[in-house]
Amino acid sequence: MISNKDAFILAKKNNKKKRIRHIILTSVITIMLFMIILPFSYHKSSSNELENLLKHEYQTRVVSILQPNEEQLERVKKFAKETDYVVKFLEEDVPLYEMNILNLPKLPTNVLITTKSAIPYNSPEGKIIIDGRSIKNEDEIICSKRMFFEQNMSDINDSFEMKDYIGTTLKVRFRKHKAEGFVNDFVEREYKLVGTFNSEITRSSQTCYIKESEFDRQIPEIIESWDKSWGSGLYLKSYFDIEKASEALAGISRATSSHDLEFDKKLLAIITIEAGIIMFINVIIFIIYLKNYIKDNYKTMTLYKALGFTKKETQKVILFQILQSFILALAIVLVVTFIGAVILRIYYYYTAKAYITNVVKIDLVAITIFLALLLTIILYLIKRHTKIIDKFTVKELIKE
Amino acid sequence: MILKNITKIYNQGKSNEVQALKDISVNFQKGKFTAIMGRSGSGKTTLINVLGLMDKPTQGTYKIEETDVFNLSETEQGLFRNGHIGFVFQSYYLENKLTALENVMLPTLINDDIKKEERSKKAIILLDKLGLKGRMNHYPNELSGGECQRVAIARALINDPEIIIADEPTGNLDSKTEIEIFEMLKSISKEDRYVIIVSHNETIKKYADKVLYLNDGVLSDDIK
Ligand SMILES: Nc1ncnc2c1ncn2[C@@H]1O[C@H](COP(=O)(O)OP(=O)(O)OP(=O)(O)O)[C@@H](O)[C@H]1O
Ligand SMILES: [Mg+2]
Repeated sequence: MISNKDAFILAKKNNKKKRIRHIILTSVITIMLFMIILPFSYHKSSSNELENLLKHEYQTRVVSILQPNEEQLERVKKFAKETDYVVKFLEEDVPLYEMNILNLPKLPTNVLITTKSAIPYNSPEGKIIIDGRSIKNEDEIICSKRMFFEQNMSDINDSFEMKDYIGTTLKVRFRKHKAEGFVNDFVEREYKLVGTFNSEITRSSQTCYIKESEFDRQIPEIIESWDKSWGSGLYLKSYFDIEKASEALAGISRATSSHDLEFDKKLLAIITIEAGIIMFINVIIFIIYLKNYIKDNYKTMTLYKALGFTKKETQKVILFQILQSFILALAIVLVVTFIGAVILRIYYYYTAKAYITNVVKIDLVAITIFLALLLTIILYLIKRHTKIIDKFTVKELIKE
Repeated sequence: MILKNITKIYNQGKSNEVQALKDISVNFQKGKFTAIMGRSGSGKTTLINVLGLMDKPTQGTYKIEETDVFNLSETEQGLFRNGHIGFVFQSYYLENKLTALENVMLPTLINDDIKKEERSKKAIILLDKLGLKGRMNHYPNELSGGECQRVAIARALINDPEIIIADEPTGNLDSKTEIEIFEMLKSISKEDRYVIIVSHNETIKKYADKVLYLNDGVLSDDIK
């Protein structure tokens, strides 16, 4: 039996000269095939984000009604009653108050403090995903998982993981509000950070929660006079209802979400369908290409047979020939894919979607399935198209 | 080497049936240079295929030194070809991407009887003997036809087979080179081997110990 090493060297020599053409061709085909991994991977990471958005981020499903008058309020109430995708109507929107957290390495921007009850619900099941635990005592606080410290809260680089501070005591400061407005007087309190929750996606605010009783105790001291109404809000079943609700309440409502999921979903569908077609065509090209490649080697196979190579040995050399080009091509493909992923990431940065962290996660399962599929095709084709070796005679050599 | 009642029918039972070999029985002798001559289409290549175990005849038995070779499995036949039979072809069929030396070494890759370190040594000695000392690292397209054929002969000899089979080995060569090749094959047969050469070149008669004629698939001692 020919040794693996000898078969490898022989394959390498047989690949000589044809190699560049071979690699280019294999690369092109593989790159195209590899493209299908991107949408799958994108699909995966994106559907994770989608899930988060829909499950844990109530803000993305809110339509705010700003300072409505009696008549408008009636209109909204009626709408809430009659429309089946409205989950809840809150006449008095929940109080939020701005605060600063002083003892972090960087001062986070626009942190709002509120109470747990301020969240009407966090998911259809009423669950909120919290790293650490929820608030039990009045001296405890939970905050957004990620805190931004720049005014424009879109660059992930201008943020830090609040999660890392679980267990530490936060020194927070509120600015007092009196009849004449905000004054240069402050109230400082200390709370122990016991948990963080996922709000990366609601970049409109970074929020901390304290216990309701504690909030009620602090607020009168901080807000000595407050005549503004906070407005009311409609909480919808899904993000996709926002547009409908905003339209119905045109003039008095404001949608709070900015992330265009609809677009993403459509894009994803298009990418997936296109990738499916490309994949199908490419699998066929790949098969034809391999088949022809094996057939091009029929003369060599006949010679090998005459020299005493068994079918298995010949198959081994052919397999190595194909694998050598294929592995080189894969290396090229990986580099191209990596660059593609980086470009996509940059694109998302500049389209202000940076708060979605790993935009393109390469899905290892998809890659494994893909490689297994290609390897199976290669092995099957070699087996199938070398069967004929048994029939080869000296005449095969004479054929031109 | 004993062939008995060898018959080869292509496309048996079909309208384009061809009986390429007709009941051939022949005894080849060791140390003898046997030439098989015949017109085009007389069945020479078909006979070579049978002799070299590349194709099975429709009928007949074939014994090489007590081994009934048609009873061997596909793999065993491969092994047998590798160790006992050396082929030489009209158009040399050297691998273009391998050097002369590598071409000669090719059959040793699957021969477990030759140690790895000895492969190139053996090939170099053979090439040297055939007068190709300075050509070892040349590729086939850098060699003349005669040189190519000598490389092919070296490749056929590398595993020390007792049988050398050649189909028109001089078909592509000029008359001077042709003589060289025939002389080489003649001396090879003297090393206690069976050398069986198919050719329709009259020159071969001068070198052959025995000349057989194929006429429409029938083997005989004379031309018809
Ligand atoms: N694979 C095949 N299928 C059908 N008929 C075949 C096949 N191979 C050869 N033949 C026929 O068998 C006969 C003998 O062919 P073969 O190739 O052995 O002749 P040859 O003596 O080698 O001729 P040449 O000198 O032209 O090489 C021819 O009539 C040929 O047409
Ligand atoms: Mg012929």
